[in-house]
Amino acid sequence: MSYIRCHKCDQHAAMRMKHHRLNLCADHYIEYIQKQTLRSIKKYRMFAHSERVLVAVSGGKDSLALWDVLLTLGYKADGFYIDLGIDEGLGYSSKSRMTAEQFAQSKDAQLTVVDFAGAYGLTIGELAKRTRRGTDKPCSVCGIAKRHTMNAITQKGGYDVIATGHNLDDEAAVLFSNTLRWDTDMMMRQSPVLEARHGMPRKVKPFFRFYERETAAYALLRGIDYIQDECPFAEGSRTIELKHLLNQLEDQSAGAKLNFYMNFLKAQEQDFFNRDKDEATRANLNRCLQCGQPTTAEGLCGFCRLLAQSQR
Amino acid sequence: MTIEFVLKEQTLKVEEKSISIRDAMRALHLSPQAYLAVKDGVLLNEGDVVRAGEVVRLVAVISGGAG
Repeated sequence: MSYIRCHKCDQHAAMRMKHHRLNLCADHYIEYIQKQTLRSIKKYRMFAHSERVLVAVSGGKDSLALWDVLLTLGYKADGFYIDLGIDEGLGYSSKSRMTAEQFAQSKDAQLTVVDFAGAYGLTIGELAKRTRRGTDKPCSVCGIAKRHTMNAITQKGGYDVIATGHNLDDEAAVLFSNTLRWDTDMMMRQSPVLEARHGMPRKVKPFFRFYERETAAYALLRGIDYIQDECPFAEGSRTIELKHLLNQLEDQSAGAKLNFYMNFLKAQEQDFFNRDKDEATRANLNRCLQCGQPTTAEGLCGFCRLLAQSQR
Repeated sequence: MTIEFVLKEQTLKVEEKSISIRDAMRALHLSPQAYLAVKDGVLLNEGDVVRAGEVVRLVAVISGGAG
């Protein structure tokens, strides 16, 4: 079929990873992803086997692949899904919810589902329209709402850590966006591990060294049924544009994305950015008067302000 | 002399007797970073060669966030 063979067993290579100069067959690729995830978890001290992990699940390839790997590695990993009520004539939320529920059932794993409209009385699209924050696309409101709900569920359920399926392409796109604006405050905060502070749980990204095509390949090879449709609001998004640009660089120079992000982390370690300033900002966090979660604002946090606006 | 590449509801055609996945992606103006190629349930690498009459499914891998 091909001259490209697995470096470990000489079978047909399912994946060629030029940036690592590594070709692997399906079985050795699955083993590679699981071992490398374990390596990242240990190296970056993300969590221990004794800790309870909450995986933020969307029904997409990254989060379901991450949940699969963590369960395979024997971690105490439960899932958490927010039904945002995104329909747009495609039934996006109901399809992705069903996908997440079916995965949980197949693994005999625990999944907590929060129905956003049931909990707050309106869908994410309605919240965006009423607060006039993203009338066409509710993405910024969606981010705030997801963070808020994740924090609340983590505290309520007594979890030690939240794990998300962010991959290298996600992280490189965020870094690219922040770099284009030289938003050093945001750059200082970008990390595979965000330690627990001021009542916010620790947040980790165990897939941060995997390319997006690598997590997709893992999901396919493991037979994970994930939702391949993109969120209807993501079409034409800035993140996707930046990912296409980064892919052009990767096509020209294998390893470009990996080097871009990993060398950024090295620069952070070498204190290229002034961490003291960020510590000072975090130290001045207040408690939201409504929900008690940490906020830089005085009075209500960003999410509770949104809710209050929506009720006016 | 046609090789079909199915991407969601779209069918893209390459007129060749045989072609590698790498060259097919180039002919279709697609980044190999953004798609995986699957034939008969088998994940193909960029050096794999497909032939006229065969059908390859392309799986888009880019998502807007933590999918």
